[in-house]
Amino acid sequence: MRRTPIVAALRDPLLVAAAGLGLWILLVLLDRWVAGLAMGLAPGIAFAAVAGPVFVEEFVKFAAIVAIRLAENRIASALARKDDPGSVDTREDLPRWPGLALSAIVVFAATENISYMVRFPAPDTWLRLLWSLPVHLAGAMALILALWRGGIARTLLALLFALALHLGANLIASGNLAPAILAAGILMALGASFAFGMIWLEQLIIEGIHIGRKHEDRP
Amino acid sequence: MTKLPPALGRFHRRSLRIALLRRGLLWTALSVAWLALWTCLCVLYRVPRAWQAAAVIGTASLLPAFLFWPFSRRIFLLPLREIDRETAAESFFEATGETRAILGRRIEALGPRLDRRGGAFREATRGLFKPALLAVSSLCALQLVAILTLSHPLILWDGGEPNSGSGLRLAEAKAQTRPQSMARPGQSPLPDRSGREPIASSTAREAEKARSTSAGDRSLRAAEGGLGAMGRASATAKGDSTNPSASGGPPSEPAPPPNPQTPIGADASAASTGAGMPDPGKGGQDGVTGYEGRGASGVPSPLIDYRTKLYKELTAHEGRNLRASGDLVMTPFPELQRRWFSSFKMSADIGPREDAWTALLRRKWAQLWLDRGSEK
Repeated sequence: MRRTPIVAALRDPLLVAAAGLGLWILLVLLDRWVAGLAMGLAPGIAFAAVAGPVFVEEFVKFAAIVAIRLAENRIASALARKDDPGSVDTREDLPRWPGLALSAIVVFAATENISYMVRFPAPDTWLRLLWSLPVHLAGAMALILALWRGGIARTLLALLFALALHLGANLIASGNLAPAILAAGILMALGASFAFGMIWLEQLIIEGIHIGRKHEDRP
Repeated sequence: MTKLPPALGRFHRRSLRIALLRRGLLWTALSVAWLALWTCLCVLYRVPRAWQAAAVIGTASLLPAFLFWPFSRRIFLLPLREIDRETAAESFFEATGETRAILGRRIEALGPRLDRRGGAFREATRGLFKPALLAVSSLCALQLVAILTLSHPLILWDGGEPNSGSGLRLAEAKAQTRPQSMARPGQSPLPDRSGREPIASSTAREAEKARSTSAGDRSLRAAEGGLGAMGRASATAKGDSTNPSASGGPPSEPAPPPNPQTPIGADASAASTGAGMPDPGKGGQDGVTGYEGRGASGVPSPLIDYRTKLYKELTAHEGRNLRASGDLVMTPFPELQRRWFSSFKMSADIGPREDAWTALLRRKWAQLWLDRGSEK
């Protein structure tokens, strides 16, 4: 088996890291603008200031996932393994874009956690590992699985789920966080991300091994 | 969608578990290596603690990216081909009708060989020697840097805040800072028996630190003043402990001059327990027991406090460049030791304690009887 050149091996991680960081920068700028706009249009309504950025964030993340899917399908798959003809036919490999898109969202969530920790180095910021990260993870997994399985209704449902999860989490976090609500929210977010993770591994990986890209080609 | 034959599904799930375990181990090794190297940089360049915490939370957040990074079919198909040399499993999905049924039976016949058990950890750790070596090397480099720069081993950098360090530096830092664990959320806002305010915020802690320093200085100045101040009125001792400037004034205010009427014993006992800290020997008046370094302790040890004050005294005489090396001047040490321990031997003859109101009442009664006697 030929060794993969280091540049080719690092290309995807670097692209994913750049996508995640770019997403974070874009959303920081957009969130500020949208929160200011919401407060200007509906002054005194705290819900608007919380909901506005959540809607923008989820739609931008959805657009980023779609963009990564298109890029990977059209460009990267042609370039990725042209110099790596292994014993397995890599043109029929498992779809790469779901993993790449999810990793970009994870990089975004990690950057957000880092920025919070630098700005608010308090012990409760560590809860973001159990609270914020699973929310981002579950929402992104729902969107990616819906896009992978196809269907407008499924995709809209996944988008609604991601919006509701994120909005619920932010509404709880922006108020007085009762311990019981916090515990329930953490359990819900962890449970949702675990459930979507199991679906991901079972349907996208295990069932995709012998079918490959044909999953995406079917009507 | 065509369902996988059960035996084949079990085989692939085992391969997937091994791949996930392998990725988890790889993430652990790379995280340890990265965090150790980052901690080295933090130690060398005195990076604030928040950046160390940010590196840890960022690294932990990246675990899902490691686990869900795109899988290659190769890791599933190569082990399968070692068992299924006729590629019945791969052909199964392309076949239709009777051929598919025959291939399905062949796959089921492979069942016992596909249901491999054991050896998963060995398979998962194969080829991970280099990342593990990198992690161990990074940890060794971190310990080397920490020992050379901080004189003690280190796992995570805490930003060089007061509770860090070792030896006398640690003692001095801890003796002068009231531990945060003592500021309990439910603490009464009323002053305690010694008239001190509850510690509930960083501002209050600052005030406590200033009070600690001023109380320590008072005891030293009083000790230097000799016994001349002793034996004078003791009735005002309580008044000094409730002096607002001495028990919770703004930290920016200068420390009040030593009260010549303050009994030395009271001040010395306060200084020996950390300037107003509850006496550990009495089991902790604030409900905090034990000395530091022993479980959930919160009270500085009198021994460490003594060493701190001694060290401060030595520093005041010899300057900040004092080192426990060959050029240490030990001349003032016996004198300082004598003065310090002599403060424990001090005693004061204090008259019977009398309340001012009672004394006034008694005097009035006495005057009344005297007046009656004179009238008779």
